[in-house]
This record gives sequence, C-alpha cells and structure tokens, in this order.
Amino acid sequence: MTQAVLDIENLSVTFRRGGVPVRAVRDVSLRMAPGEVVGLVGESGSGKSVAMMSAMRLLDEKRAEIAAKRLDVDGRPVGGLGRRGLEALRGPVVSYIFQDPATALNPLLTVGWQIGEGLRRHRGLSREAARREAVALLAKVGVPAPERRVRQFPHQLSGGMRQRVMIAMALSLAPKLLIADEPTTALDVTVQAEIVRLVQGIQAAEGMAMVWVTHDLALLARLARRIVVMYAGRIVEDAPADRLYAAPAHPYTAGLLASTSRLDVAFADQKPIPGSPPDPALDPVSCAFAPRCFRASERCRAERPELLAHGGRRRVACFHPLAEAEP
Amino acid sequence: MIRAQPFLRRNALGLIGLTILFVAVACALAAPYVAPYSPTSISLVARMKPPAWIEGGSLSHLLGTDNLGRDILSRVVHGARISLAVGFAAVILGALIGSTIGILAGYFGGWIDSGLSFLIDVQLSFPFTLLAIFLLATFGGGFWPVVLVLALATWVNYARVVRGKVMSVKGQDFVHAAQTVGVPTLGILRHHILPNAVSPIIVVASFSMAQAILTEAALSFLGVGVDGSNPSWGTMLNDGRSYLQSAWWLTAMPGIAIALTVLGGNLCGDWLQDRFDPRLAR
Amino acid sequence: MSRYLAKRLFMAVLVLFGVSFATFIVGHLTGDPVALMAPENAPQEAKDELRRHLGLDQPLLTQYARFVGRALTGDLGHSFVQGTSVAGLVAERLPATLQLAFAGFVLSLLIAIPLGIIVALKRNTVWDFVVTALAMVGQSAPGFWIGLMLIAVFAVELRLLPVSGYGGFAYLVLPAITLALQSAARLTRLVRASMLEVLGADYVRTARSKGLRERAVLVVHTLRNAMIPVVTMAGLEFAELVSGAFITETIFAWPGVGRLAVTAVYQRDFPLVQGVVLFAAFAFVLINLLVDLLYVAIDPRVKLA
Repeated sequence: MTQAVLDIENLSVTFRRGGVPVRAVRDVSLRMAPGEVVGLVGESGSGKSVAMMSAMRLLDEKRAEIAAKRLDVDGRPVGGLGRRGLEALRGPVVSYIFQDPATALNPLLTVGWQIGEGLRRHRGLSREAARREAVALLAKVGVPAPERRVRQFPHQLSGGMRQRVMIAMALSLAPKLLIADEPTTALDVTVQAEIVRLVQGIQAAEGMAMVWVTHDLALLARLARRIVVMYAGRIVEDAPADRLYAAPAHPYTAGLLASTSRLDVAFADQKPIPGSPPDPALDPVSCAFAPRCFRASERCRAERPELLAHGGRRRVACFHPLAEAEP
Repeated sequence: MIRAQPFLRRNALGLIGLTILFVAVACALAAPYVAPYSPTSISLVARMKPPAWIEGGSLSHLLGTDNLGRDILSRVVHGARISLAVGFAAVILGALIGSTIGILAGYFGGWIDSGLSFLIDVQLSFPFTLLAIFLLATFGGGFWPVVLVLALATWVNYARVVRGKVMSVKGQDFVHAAQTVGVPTLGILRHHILPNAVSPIIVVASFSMAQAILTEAALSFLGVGVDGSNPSWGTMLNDGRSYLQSAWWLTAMPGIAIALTVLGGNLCGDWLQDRFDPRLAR
Repeated sequence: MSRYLAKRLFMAVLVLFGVSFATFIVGHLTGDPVALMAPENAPQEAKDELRRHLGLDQPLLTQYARFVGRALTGDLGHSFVQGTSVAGLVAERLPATLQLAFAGFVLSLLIAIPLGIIVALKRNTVWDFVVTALAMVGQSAPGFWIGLMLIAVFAVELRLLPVSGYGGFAYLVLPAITLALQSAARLTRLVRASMLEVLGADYVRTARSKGLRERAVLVVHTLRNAMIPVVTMAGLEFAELVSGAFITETIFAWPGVGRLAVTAVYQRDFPLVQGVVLFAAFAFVLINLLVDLLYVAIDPRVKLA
C-alpha cells in the first residue's frame, strides 16, 4: 500500500476553558491516499474544521488538547513535531484555505506580500522573485490584472477576489494535501460556483490530495469521489460518493440528503431533521444521533455503535444501517 | 455552547471590587462607630505619631497621628464619607444628564446627533481639570459645586455608550413593531430603548465612580474641593504634603484609601463589562 | 487620502472654535474684569472708561469676534497680574513642559509596550497576573500621590534626587517617572488587550498555516496590527501630558505651562487662564491631527475613508 497523505487514528480534541471540557472531536480515524479527494460533511459544530486544523496543529493548544493514536501527514507524525518541524510541514506539505477571506488575510499587508511570504520562507526566493511568482499565481487563480492586484490590500478586493488570493496562497508551494474549509460559505452564490470550479480544476491538474470541508452535501456531488460524514464529533459514515448518494447507510446521512436542496427534488419533499445536535459538553454512552433518529432502538440508547466496515468500501457507525452491505 | 466555570473563579475580580466598595460604604455610613476617635479631636501631646508597626508608634493610633495629634485612621474612615458621597452624587447626576442626551441623540439622530458629537469632541479637547479648578476657584468650592463639575466631566462617557447602544437597538425588529402599532415615542423610549441601555450605563457608572473619586481628591488637594469641618482624603493629602519630609504617613494613608476605593470601582467596572459584553472577555 | 485629511482638518478647526467660544463664555461668567482690575474706590467714570478701553461695552458676539481675531494673530491678551503678554508667558514656559512631557511619554512607552507584549505572550502566567494587577493598582492611585510617595522615598528617605525644582537631569527624573507611571499603567493594559485580540485573529492563524517562523508571525503579522489602537491612546496620553500636567508640575515646582495655569487660577488672572486653556486645546487638537496623519502611514484602510 502506498504511503497515506493523511493518516489519522483515534483522534480526539478537547477544549478546556475553565470548568467543563468540551469534546469537539471524538475518536476520529481517517486515511487518505495521495491525490484522493474527500468531502467532509457535517453541521456546524460537528468538529470537521477542528479535526482538520489539528492535522496542522493550528489550534490554540493552550485551550485545545489533542490526543491521537496516530496523526500523520505525509508520513510525518505531526503530534511529535517541534516548532521547526511544524514550520517545514505547513505550506510545502499541507496547506489550508480558510472559510472567511475577509478576516483570514492581514489587512495591513499587500496581497502580493502575503502570497510571496511562504515562497520566501520555504524556497528562499528574493522579494522580487516572490513578487513575480505571486503575480503568476494570481493569474493562475483567475485574478485579472495581477500585476496591479499584488500591490493592493485585501480591503481593495471583492470577497471572491480575496478568496482567490487565499487559494493562490495555499497553492503557492504545491502542497501534497490541500484542506479547503468551507471556502465558499462567506461568498455570494454566483461566486461560489466559480470558486468550486477553480479549485476543482487546479486539483485535477496538479493531482494533490484534497479535503473539502462543507455542510452542503449537494456541493460535493461533483467535487469528491469519497464522502465522510461527521456528527457530534464522530465520523458516522464514510463511503464512495456515488454509493452514498444512491443509498445512504446512516440515518443521519439520509436525513442530510433529504434536507439538501436539490434541483430534482421538489421543495415540499425536502425534510429537515427533527431536533438539534447534542450538547458537546455531554458524553453519552449511547448513539449521539439516537434522539433524532427514526430508526433508533433500545440498543441505540444504551450502547454506542462503532464505526465499522460495512461491505468492502464503506464504513458506518450504526446498528441499523439503511443500506445493505456491498462487496 | 454552555460555559460552566466555577463561579468564584469567574467572578473573583468583581467580588474583590464589590468587597472593597462595600467596606468603604460601610465605613462611610458607620464612621462614628468604626473610627476609634473623633476625626477632629486634637491632642498636642500625641502629635506626629508614626503608624503602629514603626518604632515610636503605638497600638492606640494604628495609622499614627497628624501634626495636630488627630488620629489618622479615624480621619481616613470619616474621609470615606465625603469621597463616596461626592462620588455617588456625581455618578447619579452625570448618568442622568449623559443618558438623557445619549438617548435623544441616538434615537432621533439628525442634527441633534451631530450637535452632540461636536459637543463631545469639544469637551474632549478641553483641559478639563484646569477648567474645573478655574470654575471652583472663581465661584467657590463646596459639595454641590464639586459634584456639578464632576458630573460635567463624566456625562460624556454615558452619552457616548448610550448613544451607540440606542442606535443599535433602534434598528431591531421589536422597536419597529412597537412603532408600527403606534406606541408613542416616549413609551418606546421608556419600555424598549432604556432597558437595553441599562447595562452599559452601569458599566460606565462604575468607572465614573472611580474617576470622580480621583478627581475630587485632585481638586481638594489643590484646595478647591469640598471644604468643611470633616476631612476629605484629598484635603488630608494636601495637609500632609507640608510634612512629607518628616511624616510621610500623613500623605501615604489617605492616598492608599483613595487607591483602594478607586480600585474597587475599576474592578467592578471591568467585571461588569466582561459580564455584559462577553466578546471582550478573555 | 486628501479627503480624509481635509475632513479631519475641518473638524479640528471647528472644535477649536467651539473651545474658544466655551472659554470665552466661561470667562464672561466668572465676573467683571473691571471690578478686578480697577481699585475698589475708583470713580464710576474711570471704570466706564476702562470698560470702553477693554471693549467690554460691545455686544458679546463682537467681543468674541475680536477675541478670536486677536488669538489668530497670536495675541492672547495680557496678564492682569504680571502685565506681560499671555502668549509670551506661555512661550517662556513651554520648553520646560515639553521637556517633561517628552521624557514622561518616552519612558511610558518604554515601559508599556514591551511589558504589554511580553505579558500578552505569557498570558495567564504569574507574570501576567503580577503585571496586570500592578497596572490596575497604578491606574487607581492618584497620580500626584504617586509623585508625593516617590518624593518621600527617593528624595527624602534615600536622598538620591532633589525634592523639586528645575535644573539638570536629576530634577527631571521624579516628575518624569510620576507622569510615566500613570500613563504606562493605562497603556500596558491596552497593549496587552490589543495583542491578545490580534493573536487570536484569523490572519495570524493564516500566517502560521504558511509555515512562517514564529518570529515573523509576531513581528510582521501581529505587532503592527496590535499597535493600531495603541497609537490612538498614546496620542491622547501625549496630548494630555503637553496640555495638562498641572498637578505634577505643581508638586515638583516644575516651571511649565501647567504650573503657570494653576498659579494663574489662584490669582484670578483671567486672561492668563484663558490663554493657557486655548493653548492646551490647540496642542491637543494638533497632536490628534498628527495621530491621524500617522494612521495614514500605518493603516492602508484609512486612505479610503
């Protein structure tokens, strides 16, 4: 088996702020092959961003406690890396596109500076060479008049342009793994599609692995081959995209699909999932989804289902999966 | 998300501040019972006694005595009366003036608002201490003149936060709803706008209390404050200053009293601000 | 950028007019200068003559217009007590005030900025607790009392420095420290709060995600952003030092504008007080204008405003 680009085993992240600890990520295991594209879906607060940020150790570790049996990026155990090791990892190996480009870019620095910074740090480029490279990157992400734009500040750019700058920044060192954390959520609907197409095109051309974090299952249909669904800090289903859309195994996935706006489903047929996610400070021994689940049994309320193989290509954490196991 | 932190840890600073203020208020109210001596009883045999823990001091005068043999502890305890009375009166008056103007400016906007902003800018560019000294030196000091001057110095703080709060509340749906069903303006102001402005007013009041006590001390120190038979902390500082070379405790003790009381006000202000505006909490 | 500056300049002028008008009105409320200037038993005709001479028989607005007109040419009137020109008196005392203000300000920044930064980086440690507590106490103690205590310790007890007066460097130390401590207490807390806010900002996380060295994250992405609110506050602090170190100057017998003003108040030297107030307001407005200019240099977003 080739070396995984991302290999997470039993990752848990706990936030401590004063008294009661809040477990944002619980026992998550995820393995990604090089070049693989994974869509990571879940409601806000399901722990998807936190899980991805811990792979880059970007969380404030004064508040967040990270525990994992394995947390490897491109074969490097991230948990044991010192400051130097982390710096060498971030950028050339893995990079992150943040959700809101309005706050994720430094307002006091030109976009050219911010794109060129990583190049200067990791490739030792001169200021001038980094600027030329930044112009080229901006052109690549479809920013018109890049020569002029590199000298501008974030507030002089539109939201879509800013997100293109973020993308150029994340791509500047040709990482092996790109994490895109809801990069279209803060943007206008019309711009969203362009950004999706842009990132998809670049991924296809350069072949890096990618995780696209989103709460929008419909968006992933044309992006990801494999979809991982998270609920209340845990992975509840992990399946090939076509199988998952055709026959969801976990009732939560089914609920998500039913509530997703799809052009081929009439609005009246879209059903929201009843109830709301559990309090992340609680740590139930039952299935976290049981209170909202129409298939929940006594067993679901007394015992927690593990994430287990369900057929050859699928993993599900449910005692009563909807779909049959396939080879 | 729930944030269940231990109550004590979360509110420690506020509790300390409240305790300090409570002790100060208690001293002020019960001064004759708390103080071991009368603040004005002169004893020429016991002049300039140092505090008890210093050589030459005695337990009969814990904080020592002044140039006329008056007990400093008793004077500090009695001094709380004036400082706190001035502080509270100035806070109430300042809050009334400032909140009224702030509400009017925030609710009606337009030229009233522009006028207010201009007034605030002018006042903030004024060397206010100098103006206060000048007014008091010209028209004479005393309790109410000092209170008035302090209220004039602090109303701006209330006006600013109340104006901001009112402007943000004004745009919210429940106010529009009240307007639509024909609730008179005064009713909207009283029942919908004012309740929302209460928390910022309390925060500003805490800080203003501290500021008022500091300024009162400065004015009394310069000899234009509250005069009268009872000692104020500022007057004590002014008296003690002449004896700085020989008896530092005349100056030190009232200063510590001021610093502690002001600290109490500031701690309460910080605490309330954190509680009311969690975005600023760290 | 020019529009932003024009707007600021216009506001500054407007504020100065407001201040001058307020000063003028307050001056009028404080009593009849003729009664103060003329001997008590002077004949009525002589008093009227003096009144006419001073222009006090004119309508209020005319008097105000004259007052402003003269002030614009640098004529702030004459001191009742000393008989010399107010502008001259202020100018004479200004160097001492500026000297003290600069010394206090620089010292305050030297204390507050490094301390605030270090404490923010070591948040929730013993250092943080101690410095924050000291700053809170420093903010709560009356500044002039700190000055008196410094005198008691360093001048009276240890005899290291002169008690008060004006002369060489030794005379500058205590008053400068007195001013610096008050201002540093406020600024340290602001620097700390501002640093903490920026350290938690999304763009700092972005900077880390690029694998930048921690030092670059701190210097390039944090410090400059954190200094923005500090610049405003520091400007106000400096303006206050230039325009109003009244009590500190009085305690240390420092021959600056502040002490001049306090003496003038005691002597009911109205034109002198009026002149000093105007000067102080002018200094205040001017310094704030300079701060606005500084903003254009450090914050690119300001240019559009």
